[in-house]
Amino acid sequence: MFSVSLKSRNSPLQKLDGRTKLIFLAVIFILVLLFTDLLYITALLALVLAAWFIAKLPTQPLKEMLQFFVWIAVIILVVQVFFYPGTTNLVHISKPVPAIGFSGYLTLEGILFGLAMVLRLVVIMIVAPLMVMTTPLPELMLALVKLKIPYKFAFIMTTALSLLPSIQNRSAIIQQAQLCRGISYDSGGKFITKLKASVSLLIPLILGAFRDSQTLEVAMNSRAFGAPIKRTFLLESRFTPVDILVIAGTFTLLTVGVMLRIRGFGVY
Amino acid sequence: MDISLSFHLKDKKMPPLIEFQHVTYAYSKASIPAIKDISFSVEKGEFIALIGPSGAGKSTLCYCFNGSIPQLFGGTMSGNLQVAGCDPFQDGTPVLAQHVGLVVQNARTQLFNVSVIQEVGFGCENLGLPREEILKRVSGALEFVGLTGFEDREPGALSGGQQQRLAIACVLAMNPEILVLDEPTSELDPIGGEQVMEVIARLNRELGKTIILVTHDMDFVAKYADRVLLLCDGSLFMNDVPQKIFSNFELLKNARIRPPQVCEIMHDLKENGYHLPDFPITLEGTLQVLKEMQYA
Repeated sequence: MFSVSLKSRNSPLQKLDGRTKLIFLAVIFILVLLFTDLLYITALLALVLAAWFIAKLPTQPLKEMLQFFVWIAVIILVVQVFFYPGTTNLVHISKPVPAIGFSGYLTLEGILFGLAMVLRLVVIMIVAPLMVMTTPLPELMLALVKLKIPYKFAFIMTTALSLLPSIQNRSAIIQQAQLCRGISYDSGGKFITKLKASVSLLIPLILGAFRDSQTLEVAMNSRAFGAPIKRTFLLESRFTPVDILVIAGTFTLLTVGVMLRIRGFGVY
Repeated sequence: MDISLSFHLKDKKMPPLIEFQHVTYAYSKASIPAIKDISFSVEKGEFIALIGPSGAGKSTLCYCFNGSIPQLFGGTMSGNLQVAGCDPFQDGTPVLAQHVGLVVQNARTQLFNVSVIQEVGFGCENLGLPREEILKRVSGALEFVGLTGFEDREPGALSGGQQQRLAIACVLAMNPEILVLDEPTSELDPIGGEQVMEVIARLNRELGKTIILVTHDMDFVAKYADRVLLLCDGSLFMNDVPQKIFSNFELLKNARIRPPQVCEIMHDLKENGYHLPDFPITLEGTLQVLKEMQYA
């Protein structure tokens, strides 16, 4: 499983204010959902990948994410390719099945739309970790709070992210303990065996997480979490000229995107 | 932080800092109470050791001090309870947190921030302190527990002893009058445990903090505690000075508590007919007695 912890230190992206990166993230999300044209979505993917490399992030998490996504992508592609109502027929497959919207042909528009949908999900999948991997969690929380997200919500979100490594560690410990007692996680095993093994892993993992969450609640309350006092922050957050520039560029991109969409560009 | 300005207060004329009167508590769906008819008081600056066998209700009692019981755990509670002028029945845990710092048994699960500085500053941020004050307090607390220089480290990457000292620093930065520590050394190696215990002793000695410590380390209790509360099956079995508790072997046997090793030696000497001028409970006291008996 890929890790979404902070991986970029001292890169231009890491130096940006958390709010700048959140605005960029939101704009990419909006744009990728606005367009269905493969060309436009590819351009957005190129932008996100460029940001990934500017952030000097390792390519390994990218590979792991794509490996994880490959089967989902195949399913999406197949569904869109066969069921998108295109006009340029390429290959005749079978008789039309109107009940499920299948024309009987594999169409050019279907292929392009299918690829666009896959790339749309790839963009969404990459841009969120890009944010987390370039922003220390306290900065992310502060950015959310400054953007008027309720503190408790921001805290829950960032704490959940910060606890992921410890859940992964606990999972590894349970697996080791169960391996010692004869439970096999062998990938060569039957599906039912694997399912049973994962149940025996999930139950102690969830129960342990519940137990820890109670201790965590006690610990947080012992440190005045939720006190009826206006909270302050140890971290400081300030926009630099680079932030202003990036935000201006991001909003320009959004404006151009919306204008193009209104004029009918970027969709099939 | 006024760590350096604090001093040890044991003014017996002051009203008790903590007062339990006939407190009984049962967890929700439990048929029998976890603690039964507990009454005691604690003066400002006292070092109280809470001892007893497993399942005696020590942790339950700890959660009462900062209102986690009954506010977070639910259940049914009766009796009267006053902690630093607050009523844990009425005042929320975040309010009580300004007076009571609670360090639970498992250090790892109570640390949830990504860096030591964030972890220690968390409580101060919740109290709405200015940034400069937070930095001052964080620095003071880390220095006190011997973790200066660890500010940017990940709490999860620290050793068990360091994590426990960090947990202490987290509550210390909030400058509470009372520190409640529930078996802080139970998962530590001897050296890590010793370092944590040393910090706890200094909190009482140098900063005048009122300490409530749950521990099975009877040598430490004998050396540092002003008073011992012995719990057994949810009831307060005994409330006395360590000397009285550790010299009462019959009582300790009934409560399934093993006394400090030196007490066992003294007890055996006494049983074998040796006349002891005193019944020491610490190593230093034992050496003194043995000198007097001309064995050392």
